Amino acid sequence: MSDSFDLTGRVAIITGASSGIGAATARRFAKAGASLVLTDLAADGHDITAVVADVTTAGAQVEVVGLDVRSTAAVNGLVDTAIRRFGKLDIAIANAAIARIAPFGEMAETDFQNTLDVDLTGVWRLFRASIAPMSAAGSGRLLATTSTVGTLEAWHAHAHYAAAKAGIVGMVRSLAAEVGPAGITVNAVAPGIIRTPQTLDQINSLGEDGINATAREQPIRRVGEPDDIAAAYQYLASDAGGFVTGHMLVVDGGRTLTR
Amino acid sequence: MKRLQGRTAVVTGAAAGLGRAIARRFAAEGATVVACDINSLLEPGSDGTISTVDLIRAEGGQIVPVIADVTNTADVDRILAAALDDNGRVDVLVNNAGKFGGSSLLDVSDDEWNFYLTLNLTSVFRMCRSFVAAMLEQAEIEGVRGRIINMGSQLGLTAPPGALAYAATKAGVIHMTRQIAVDYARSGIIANAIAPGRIITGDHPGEHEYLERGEIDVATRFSLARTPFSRLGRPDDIAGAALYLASDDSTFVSGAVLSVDGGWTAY
Repeated sequence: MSDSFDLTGRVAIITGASSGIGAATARRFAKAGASLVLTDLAADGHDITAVVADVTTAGAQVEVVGLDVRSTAAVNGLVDTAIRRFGKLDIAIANAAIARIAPFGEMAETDFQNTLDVDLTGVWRLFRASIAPMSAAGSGRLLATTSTVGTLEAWHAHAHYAAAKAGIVGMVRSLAAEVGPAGITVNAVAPGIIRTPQTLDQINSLGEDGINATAREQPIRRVGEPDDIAAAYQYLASDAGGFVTGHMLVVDGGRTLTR
Repeated sequence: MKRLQGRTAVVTGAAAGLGRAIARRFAAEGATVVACDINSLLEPGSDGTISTVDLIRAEGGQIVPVIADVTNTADVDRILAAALDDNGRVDVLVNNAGKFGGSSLLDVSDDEWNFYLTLNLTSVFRMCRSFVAAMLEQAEIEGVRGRIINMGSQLGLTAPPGALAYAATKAGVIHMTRQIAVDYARSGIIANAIAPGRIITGDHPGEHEYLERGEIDVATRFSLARTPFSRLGRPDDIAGAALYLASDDSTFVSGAVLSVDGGWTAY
């Protein structure tokens, strides 16, 4: 029998694929048989070359698009690229995000707007562009990386990030209701503390020491790895996850239960 | 790649509906399935053709049938013994046995209340207590000694009218699952709940007519109106969720409530 979470023949867009959760999802989806359209942002300093090499070795066809999810034209073009190269779009994962520390009283309007533009409006742009081809096909999976921050817990000096991540969940629920009749599911995954370049950032996030402290304190005795989130995406993108929609899947080692 | 190769999984309420689909999926993914039900495990299934035991064997799966009543403490011990007898450990427990029905507060007799509490909640408590104790004695695989998957319901999260006792038991199951997750995570136990929406098994009133002839009764009409996705649920949708929560793909997921409801609770 074939793998229950098989993605053979599926076409997936993954934004923010050069590091962390996006990169792990690309690698996992490649092994599961998907064709990939990956985005990176050169200015971020992450090199997508290794990801492309790994997914190619796994046998996946891959297209890389350098883009900033703050550009509506670029995101629309991204969906066009997927359709042109692979003829369809089955899965769109809005994963690209930023987290920049900013105490509320000192938060400039540009700080707030920039975070919202990437972390929330970026999701909206990808979802909006994906709906037309998915509706025409009568099926599709829209997925977004939210966070336990904003949805289940606070994060000091990250109110803009929290607002954006909570906004994703509101959008996911409403959109699930709207596009469900067209056979499209819409879900969010809420990672807890995951060992990614973003979380390892000593200035804007926990850093190595903070990650290790979390691993000691939370119910499950480790922090998450990017592949834990990639696996959640694989389930939600596969046939096995076909009746899950409007849901926020929490992947946090039980951490927010005790808060 | 089989995701449960070499694992032993107990599934209660495996004769029909969700439990049958879960048992079948787990067996197809390589698990030895200890399948429990009160009496009909060996009888023809809800599709009218073949029992769960014969179905899984015909598909080449490993199944150990146990005729047992989860409300009976001696039977709980028997299920555990049967599971451990297979290869000395039990990796997954799916508490699926339960019954839907009931009425609003003023129509709930003590007997009705006690019936649902005993079957849907107390039995899950006893099964978890016995199995977690046994799981704590066994070695870790991928950092996990054992997994509990409890069948909640969207009725444990939302409150459509008229099923007071049932809804209370499912809310209880969901929160008990969270509490087990927190209390035993450090010991390598993972516990999660599934909250199914309207799943058409063919076993409830009106479902056979809907599946066979597309006839829509009042309950089905309500479900269709409340489910934004383009179809209602199938037992295999729940089997997919159970597989994710039973597999090594979800070792960082605990205390979660996975809604599989076509958007009912989001809508």
